[in-house]
Amino acid sequence: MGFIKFENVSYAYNSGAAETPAVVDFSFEVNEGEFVALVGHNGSGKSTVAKLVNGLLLPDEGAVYVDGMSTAERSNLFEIRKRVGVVFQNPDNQMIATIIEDDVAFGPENLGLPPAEISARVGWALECVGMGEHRKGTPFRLSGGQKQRVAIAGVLAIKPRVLVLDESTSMLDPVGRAEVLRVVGSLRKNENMTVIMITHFMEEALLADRIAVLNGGRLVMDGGREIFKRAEELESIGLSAPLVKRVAMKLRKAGVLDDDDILDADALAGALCR
Amino acid sequence: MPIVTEQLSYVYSPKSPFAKQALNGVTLTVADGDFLGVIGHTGSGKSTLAGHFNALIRVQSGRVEVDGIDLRPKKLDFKLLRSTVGMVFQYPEYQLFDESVERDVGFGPRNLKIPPDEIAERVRESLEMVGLDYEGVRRRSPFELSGGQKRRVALAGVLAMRPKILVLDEPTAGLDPRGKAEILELIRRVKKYMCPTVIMISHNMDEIAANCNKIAVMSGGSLVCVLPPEELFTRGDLLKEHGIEMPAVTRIANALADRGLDIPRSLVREDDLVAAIVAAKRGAIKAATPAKPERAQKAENNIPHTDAVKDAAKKGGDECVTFR
Repeated sequence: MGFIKFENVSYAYNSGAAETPAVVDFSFEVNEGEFVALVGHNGSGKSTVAKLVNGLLLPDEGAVYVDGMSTAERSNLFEIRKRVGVVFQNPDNQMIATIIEDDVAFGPENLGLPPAEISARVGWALECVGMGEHRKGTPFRLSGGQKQRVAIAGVLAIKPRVLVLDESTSMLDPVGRAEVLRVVGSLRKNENMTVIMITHFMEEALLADRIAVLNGGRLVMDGGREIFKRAEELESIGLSAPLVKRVAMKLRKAGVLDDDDILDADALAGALCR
Repeated sequence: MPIVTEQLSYVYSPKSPFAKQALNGVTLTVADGDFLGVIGHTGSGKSTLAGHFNALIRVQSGRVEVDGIDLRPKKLDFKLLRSTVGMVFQYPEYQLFDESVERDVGFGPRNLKIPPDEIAERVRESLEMVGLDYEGVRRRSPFELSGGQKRRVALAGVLAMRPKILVLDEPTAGLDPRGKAEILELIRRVKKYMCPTVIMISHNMDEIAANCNKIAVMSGGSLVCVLPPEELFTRGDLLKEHGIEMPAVTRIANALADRGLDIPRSLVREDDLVAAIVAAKRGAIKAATPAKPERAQKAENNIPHTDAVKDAAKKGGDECVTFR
């Protein structure tokens, strides 16, 4: 069984009389060490999945398991949240303290760890995201990308086994986005962290080993980069193929390229300049 | 001239330990019919500059003139100004508040004490402009609409003031690819039929490059330059000095040009890139056959980029048809 397992999960938001189904009969597994991108149009159910992973929402039907524990059992939630950390979209909504190290220490303090251990974890977490020198500073004067890195550090200090990024780069400028993606890369490399990255930037999804596509709350594609071969299908559900792939497809239609199975500029150059 | 700023400077919390110089001597002219893109890092002064255009931020030093209105005096005809400049903030859907779409969109005109018939007319016109079905949505609560629809309603609320100048701060942030494409399409339509002058702040270089005729680069509160996209993105020195990303299209064009493909490095639009590659490939095949004298080939290479692209687009387009 995968470290995270969704078993026929359905969830609907109740807004008055009208029920809006957000996730429908969703089955999905993530193993330890995987880097999965979860993509889908606005309203496809991506963020609902993020909230179901660590029991912020509980399934109406089906079950969600983390490390074999069901999120439906209240007594499991503490252990589950030690294993899965979620970073959300808006950096300003995630800061709770006025000093950065206090903010990052919030998680480990709640785990009841001894002060020396907390201090060590805060130092380690801030180093991981390249914010070590800001330890004594205040989060309010940071840029968006820096704030998101502190938010990631706050999650890392709990030493989770899975990091979930719920559109954590969508409110950042290109510099901030690159900072966060660099941190994700280094966590993959140095800590072998399991990462679930929710995004609708296809170029970001390309960084993952596996890409899962949601549409109308259902899982419609799940695989490696080869899913971009289904570019037309992606477009029909509000997404797009990466730019290079789109260009390659048009070139193939125009008859100047034989094979449009290309995802980066170098490969395109190679194919065209042969 | 819709907007002129001269030596515009602004300091937040002046004379305090937290004083921050947000604008530093910005002199800028936005002409009628411009689609001006404003780029720069977070904190470079983009939003402070835009805030001056409808006097949300008042002139501290320097001069701002919008459609002939001098914004320096303390007392201003705010009604006139705010029906001249429509401002769409980031995540404008967070500003929806009224019980029905109709009332929300009509809020601005109601404050202008416009007769009810005309308000209804403006609401209809604005909702149709943003691609919503007037009868279908007018009585619905804005809060039960989807994210993309909410953003359209918010935009309609600004358009109901019938502004001549539209200022948009990150209009596509947080939207999925289709939502982004739809909002941009809508902005182009609004520009064509309603507000001839549009100013768009964005971090997305492809969006800016493909839509704007001029790009203003802000850095540390100063205006670095105002250039057409084709020129800005070939200025390696400027891009490097100010940490400006190239549009993805331009990056690919450069990667291909580096490998010896004969295409301009200044391309900023996806379709132009495709057309240029098609033309280059065809050209390469022709060049391989000795029919074309070398001089003619050279002359062709000297055509300015924009023409070359148009030419390529035309060629590419025609030949695409015959290939199908």
